[in-house]
Amino acid sequence: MATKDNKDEYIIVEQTWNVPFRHYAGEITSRYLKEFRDNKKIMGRRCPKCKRVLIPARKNCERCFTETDEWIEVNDEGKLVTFSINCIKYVGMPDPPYIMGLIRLDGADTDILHYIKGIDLSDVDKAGRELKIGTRMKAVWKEVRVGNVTDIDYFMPTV
Amino acid sequence: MKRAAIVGVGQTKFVSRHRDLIHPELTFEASRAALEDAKLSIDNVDALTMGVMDPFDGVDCCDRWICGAAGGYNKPVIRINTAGATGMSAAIAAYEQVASGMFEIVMAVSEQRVSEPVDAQSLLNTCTCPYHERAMGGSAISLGAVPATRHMYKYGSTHEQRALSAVKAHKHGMNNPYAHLRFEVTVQDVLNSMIVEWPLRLLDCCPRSDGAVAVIFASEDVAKTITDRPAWVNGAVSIADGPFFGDRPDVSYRAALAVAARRLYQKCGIKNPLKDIDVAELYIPFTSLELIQTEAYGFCDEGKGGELLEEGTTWMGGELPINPSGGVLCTNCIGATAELRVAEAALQVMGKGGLRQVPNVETALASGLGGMLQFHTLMMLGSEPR
Amino acid sequence: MRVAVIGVGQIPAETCKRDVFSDQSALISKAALADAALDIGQINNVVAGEYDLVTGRTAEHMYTIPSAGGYLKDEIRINDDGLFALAQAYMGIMAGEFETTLVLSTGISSEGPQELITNMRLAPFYHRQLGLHEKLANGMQALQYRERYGVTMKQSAKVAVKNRKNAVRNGYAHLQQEVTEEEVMKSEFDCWPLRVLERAPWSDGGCAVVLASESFARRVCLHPVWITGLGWSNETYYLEDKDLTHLTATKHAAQRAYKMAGINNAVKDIDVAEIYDVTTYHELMAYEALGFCKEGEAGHLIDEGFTQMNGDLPVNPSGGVLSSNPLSASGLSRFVECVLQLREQAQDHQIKNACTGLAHCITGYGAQRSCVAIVRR
Repeated sequence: MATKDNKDEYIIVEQTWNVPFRHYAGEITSRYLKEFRDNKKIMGRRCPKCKRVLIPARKNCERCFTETDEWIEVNDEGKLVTFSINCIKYVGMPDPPYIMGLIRLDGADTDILHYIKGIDLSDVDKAGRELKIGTRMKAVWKEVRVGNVTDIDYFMPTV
Repeated sequence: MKRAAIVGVGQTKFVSRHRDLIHPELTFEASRAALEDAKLSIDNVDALTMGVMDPFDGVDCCDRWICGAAGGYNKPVIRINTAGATGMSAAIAAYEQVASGMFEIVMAVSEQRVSEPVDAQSLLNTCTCPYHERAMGGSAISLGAVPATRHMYKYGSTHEQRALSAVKAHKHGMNNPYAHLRFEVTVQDVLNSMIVEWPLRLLDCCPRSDGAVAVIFASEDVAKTITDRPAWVNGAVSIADGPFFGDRPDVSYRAALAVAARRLYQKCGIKNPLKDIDVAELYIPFTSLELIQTEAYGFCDEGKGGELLEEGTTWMGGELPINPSGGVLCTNCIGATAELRVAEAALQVMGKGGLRQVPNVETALASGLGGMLQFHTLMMLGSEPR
Repeated sequence: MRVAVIGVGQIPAETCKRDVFSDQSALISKAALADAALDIGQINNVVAGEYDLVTGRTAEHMYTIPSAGGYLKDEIRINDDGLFALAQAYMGIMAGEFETTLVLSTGISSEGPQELITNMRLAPFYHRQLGLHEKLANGMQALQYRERYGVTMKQSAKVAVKNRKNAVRNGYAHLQQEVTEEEVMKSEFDCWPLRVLERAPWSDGGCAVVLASESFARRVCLHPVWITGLGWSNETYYLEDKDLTHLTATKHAAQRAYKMAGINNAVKDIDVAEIYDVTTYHELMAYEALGFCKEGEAGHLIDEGFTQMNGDLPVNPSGGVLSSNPLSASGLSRFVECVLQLREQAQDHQIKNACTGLAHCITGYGAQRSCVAIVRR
């Protein structure tokens, strides 16, 4: 803990939370992430009631209050649903500019959230205007994969 | 204004670490179990209250992620967090929602995966005031240790008396298939266990557990159609004390708890708590707090909490068994712990306690405790409406 | 039985209070009690609507509730916006548990990095590590809505211009400078397509409300304001799994609140609305979800001046969240502002003859949760 005076004679007590966590991913999410790591595959879970294929793979369909019961492989390609470009540096967040997007993968009934790269961001407004909703996107996988959603490095336009 | 009753209870097994089920999945298990218990479908539930304490799950506002799996999709959901008292506050909120006439059926769901932080005490330290108390390394264990020392000094209570609280809890916990720690201990075991924060030893303290619990509240008319034996909510109170240890030097928090208990007894027409209450599920995470709480509730005279344990009054088979479930000393899933007290008290009134059932329960007390021993939440359940 | 609002209090919103955060709770509480002409001893219950982590504390109500006068009173803390706390407080009174309740939201945003804190609210398995935060999600939502319905940047700018202009006349607002459409449309990008002037700032502030049962209110208050409708709802957490172009939770919350209040025609029956305009686009989406216009037509509403101070249904005469955003109090502030309008105490931003007001809030990613309250004088 460090303390220092400020100009107005108000003390600022500085504190940083540095609390490590270990999150066990459970049966379903572990399988989802192992498929990323071992097979470069995106596997969704199908709800027996509404028949939707959910990404990320979840054990429960909250709309139907049921347990999903089937693994379904979806394509690692799909259509851009929406995106936003972070332009300001925020504490603890990646350096700007970067694009965050939702992509509807072929064969899935929900989207996947991920970084979008392969776009020239030297002029953010131009890039944003030119990147059209509906653009085909493809996952770019990392060489070294560890069982994390970041095993997909990013998505990029297919053309 | 309507009467309200508990008509269904569900809980997961509590363990050190649910490796197989993540946060929403645990919540789903508890909700589903409660609905099955009440023979209801999620469509019958009008609204939910969610109890989770940040940041033990390692996710701030974790309720937003898990409430869908709990059954909260496109339903009214209100999220409660009153630190250790969270689960009971979620239950009180659900009770108020029904009693107000706003909803017929409301489900309170609380979840916690206390296994997520590598060290839970560093998180509990973030509760303390950053200006005055955080740097002292205060943790939740201090909340049990500091009053323990004071109680021994002022009333001459002993380590052995305190150890009986742990012996009792673990003996009772053997009867509860959902309890986390299921082993018996002796006074000597407790006294030989390692010192965690003097005078408290490891077996004076609760574990950290993963799990979830759900309790369904229904209005009077609806409750009668669901079950012949609901647990009526005959009174609920909460009370706030100040956040600083130094403001309450004398066996810390007994005064505020005694005020809350008096208010609750007045609401429920309880004259002699030891006689009028049949069973209690109390939030006792440290053995020292059993002594102080039983005094505050008027189960014995000031300073006599140790003797009460020795006399066997609060053991299974005694006049007022405390924590037939094994209580918090066997299972502590922080944000869900206090709701678990309500759930267990309800099971006793509904006659669904299994091996841990106390015979002929007409009146059951449940409690929660949060903050720097500062928030007390109490609920009285009965086999007949007040 | 009904529940009355017999007191409201707020402190001016600003960038940084430079004071112990729980001391603000005392100020807010005193302001509301003074307004209600009540002594703290007459309050039965304190309901806080506040977040953890936002001020770098776990269980921050440990400090705010005692500071607000909660000592030896009933208490509960709703870990969400204060408008949800108000709903719970209302039900506590309707249940016959309390005669009076203080609803409290201490909104201090300056003590921590709020973007990072919203990132901490994400599931650790799929979302946290992707650099997402709430502003980025708001950007995604704004883009999808704009593209779906052809909402123009000019229409978005008009919302900012309107609200910032209104804020100039509100002494409690944080940003009290007018902006022009040109300035909005040329301001720096925050999370594209959102520009800095199209989204809310972070503010320090807060507010409190004193509620009472009808019988108590009749004894102490000549002209109480009544809560006639309340609704709240929750949709999915997963951004992947929802249509971001609709504020679904708001739609459901409004339906519940309207039903309870007997409102059949929102535009006709509501005289003033305070909306959670965390971005300009969210104000427009809220027009649709609240039934002020059909889906996709909010742009026309702002073009027609319908929601201006002198329009048919003034929205955010206070300046809204775009002008002041004391986190966790931002929704409850909407309610406080409605009450002031109905009591004709909104001073320089008063609108004429307001009998029924609507307060709205949204919280969470993609406006996962929403609460709507209807008040009537």
